Amino acid sequence: MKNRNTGLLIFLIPIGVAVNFVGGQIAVLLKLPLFLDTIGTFTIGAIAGPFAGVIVGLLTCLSISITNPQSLFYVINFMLMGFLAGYLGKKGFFTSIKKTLGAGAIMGMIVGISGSLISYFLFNGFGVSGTGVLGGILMGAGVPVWASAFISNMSVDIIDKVPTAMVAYLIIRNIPQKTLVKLPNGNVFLNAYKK
Amino acid sequence: MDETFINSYRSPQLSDNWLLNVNPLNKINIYVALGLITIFFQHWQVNVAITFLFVLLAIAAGRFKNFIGPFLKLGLVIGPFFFIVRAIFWPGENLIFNYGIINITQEGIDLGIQYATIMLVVCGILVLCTVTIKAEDLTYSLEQIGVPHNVSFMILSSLQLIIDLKDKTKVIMDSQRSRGIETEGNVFVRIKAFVPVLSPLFLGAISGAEEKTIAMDARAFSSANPNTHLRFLRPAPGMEKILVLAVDLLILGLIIMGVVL
Repeated sequence: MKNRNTGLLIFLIPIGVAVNFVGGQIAVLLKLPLFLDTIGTFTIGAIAGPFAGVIVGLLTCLSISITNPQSLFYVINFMLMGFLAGYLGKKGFFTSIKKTLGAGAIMGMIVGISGSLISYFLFNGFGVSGTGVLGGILMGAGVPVWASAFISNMSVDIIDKVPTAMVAYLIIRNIPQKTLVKLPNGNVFLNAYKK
Repeated sequence: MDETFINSYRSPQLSDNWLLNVNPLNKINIYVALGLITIFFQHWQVNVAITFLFVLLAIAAGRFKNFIGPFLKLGLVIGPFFFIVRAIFWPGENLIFNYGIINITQEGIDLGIQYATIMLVVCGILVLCTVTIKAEDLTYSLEQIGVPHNVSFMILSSLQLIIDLKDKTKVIMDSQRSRGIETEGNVFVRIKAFVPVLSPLFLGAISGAEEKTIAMDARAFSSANPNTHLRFLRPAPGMEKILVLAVDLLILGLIIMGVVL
């Protein structure tokens, strides 16, 4: 047998994709003012490493764009989130509440920057959802186009990614140790819990 | 009945419609090539024409009914959204109407029409893909060009899991509600309800994944030998290859002409 762990990864990635999708829907059902549609990417990235995170991001983007075509242009953002979650997870960022908040803020910032670059170059600075309206209001108020693209994307991403990271943390906390032990980043969490 | 069912897997999967029988990758090639025209010709009339072409393709594939519903639903939301945001807020010289932060300019309206029609084309491509391509056919043809079968599994299982988990969500939400978790009220109450709904779903799926790994390994999923397929597609006939090549060259020619002129 080549590797039992890659087998488990192949099963976890679809779960990440589906949870992204369903998480977004639960947020809509509960009428929350957040997207919360990247929980799967965060969690799977954090426990299974950057590579798995990137694939979850890519597949999520492709499946979301069937009902939400504009997200197709943000595919780099989806993949970047998976990569960052994996990288920060490896560095032990999802092991305590404080660090998780930090990880959420860092990811929100980086994703916000890349998102506003995409919005700026592809969509004249307007985001494709509520961010577009926010950016538009700023533009109407006389803020330059690049600045309103930046402000609208950054603020929305940070507000959304910090709670997302928190939810991911709470879920990882509850994953049984016998599962964590089989995952690429699992030892990071197990060592942290031991202390 | 049983015999016809079994026999249907002995030959390549074919339908009565020639367009549906085109290899999935070739279909995507044609759709995307048509979509690329919009980038090089910055006229909204071109975009509208291409959108109509997509509608015609859906009719030719005999999938008009499946196509038009989702397409209108998406197009009528996204197109106007792109238009209105730009029309109202984009700064410009030729002011038409100004009230507070709303300032409608000619530039904004032009830009809005341009982007709204491009988004119609994008919606057209995506909806056309979903109504004319079956996911299992797409993964089969990806495997034929050398993509590992693990990837096929991931794609198909993601699509299946989305449906499964959606059903489970309803069950979990109802049961958590019956245990006294409030799902209505102010924002903080509703945020608190989020984790009790999502985490059983996620953790259940993860523990299921472990069992599946063992079950699939027992069925030689990780074996390195070549896979067999229950359903298979015909290899693309010569005419089809020529057609795709011709469409690509034609569009490339159009783009070059458009850029040069």
